[in-house]
Amino acid sequence: MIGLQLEAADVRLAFWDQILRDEPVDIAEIDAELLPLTKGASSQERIAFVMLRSCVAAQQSMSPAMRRNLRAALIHWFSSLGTSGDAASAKAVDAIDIRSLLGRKLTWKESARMVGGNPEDYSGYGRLLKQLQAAAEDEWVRAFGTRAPFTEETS
Amino acid sequence: MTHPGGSFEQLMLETLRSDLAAPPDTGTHLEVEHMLDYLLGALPQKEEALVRAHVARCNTCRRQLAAIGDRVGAQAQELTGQAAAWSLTAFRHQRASAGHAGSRRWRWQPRFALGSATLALLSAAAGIVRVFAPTSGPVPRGGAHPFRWDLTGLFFGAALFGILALLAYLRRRK
Repeated sequence: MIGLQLEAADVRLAFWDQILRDEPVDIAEIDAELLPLTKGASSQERIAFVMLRSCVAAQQSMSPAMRRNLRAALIHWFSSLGTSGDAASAKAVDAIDIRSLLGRKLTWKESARMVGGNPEDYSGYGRLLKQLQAAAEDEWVRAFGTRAPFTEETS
Repeated sequence: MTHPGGSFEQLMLETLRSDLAAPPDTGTHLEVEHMLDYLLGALPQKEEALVRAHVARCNTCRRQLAAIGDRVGAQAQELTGQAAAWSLTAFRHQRASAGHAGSRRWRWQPRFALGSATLALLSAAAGIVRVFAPTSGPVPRGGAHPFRWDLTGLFFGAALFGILALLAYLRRRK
């Protein structure tokens, strides 16, 4: 990728950042830049790759409302990571990027409002998680040919 | 779920947290050149995202980017101040020269006064000649010369204007 030679985590975060900002993400780029790095990599690295790729793949067939749910979920997740000391400043979030979100502890309602989604649609979050999990399981099988370690038991 | 971490949501959070873990100081870092390009908005969208992503997890680069940003901001402010000062000076020069040109435009010039005087003399001479010159064609009954008002008035008017212009010029010279 590009002139910068950084780690796989940087590259993955850059793709997440683009999804957060609603910028187009090319799934072929993910394959070209990250798939080779998963060979011989740890389970954690493989899961990280599959999570990202499945989100991008699922996003391409999502309705506009579900795409907003995905962005809201990412805002919610990133804001729940880091500490309050990570928050860039006490003022309201004015830019949707990872750095600005860390430590903000935004609720689902606040996150949905930031992307113009319906803050009362809590079931949308549940539907999104189900869709992402199904996509991630498929991606794992496609990429590594085995059953995903996070597959739901259907006994 | 078979994943020991629990729900899919939990797994996603663990994954993102792991990616956000700060790299060691000996790890890969951004180059100053890339930081500058990022601050100046000169990077393509993809590279911008990569810089943002790396800065989100790397304290070393975040601090360095902030420091460079402060310096770039200060220099930009200084340059903006200089540009404003230059603009003001240029504006004043322009106004001053425009004012000078304006006053010169309306000032009485010697050549204008002399031209007016010449025109006045010529007009007066033409008017006199035209009034008293014998007419061609039949002389009216009584033998008197008719006073021809057609162009004579214009000649005398021009002469009067020329004389007034000359007087105004001579008065200004005093």
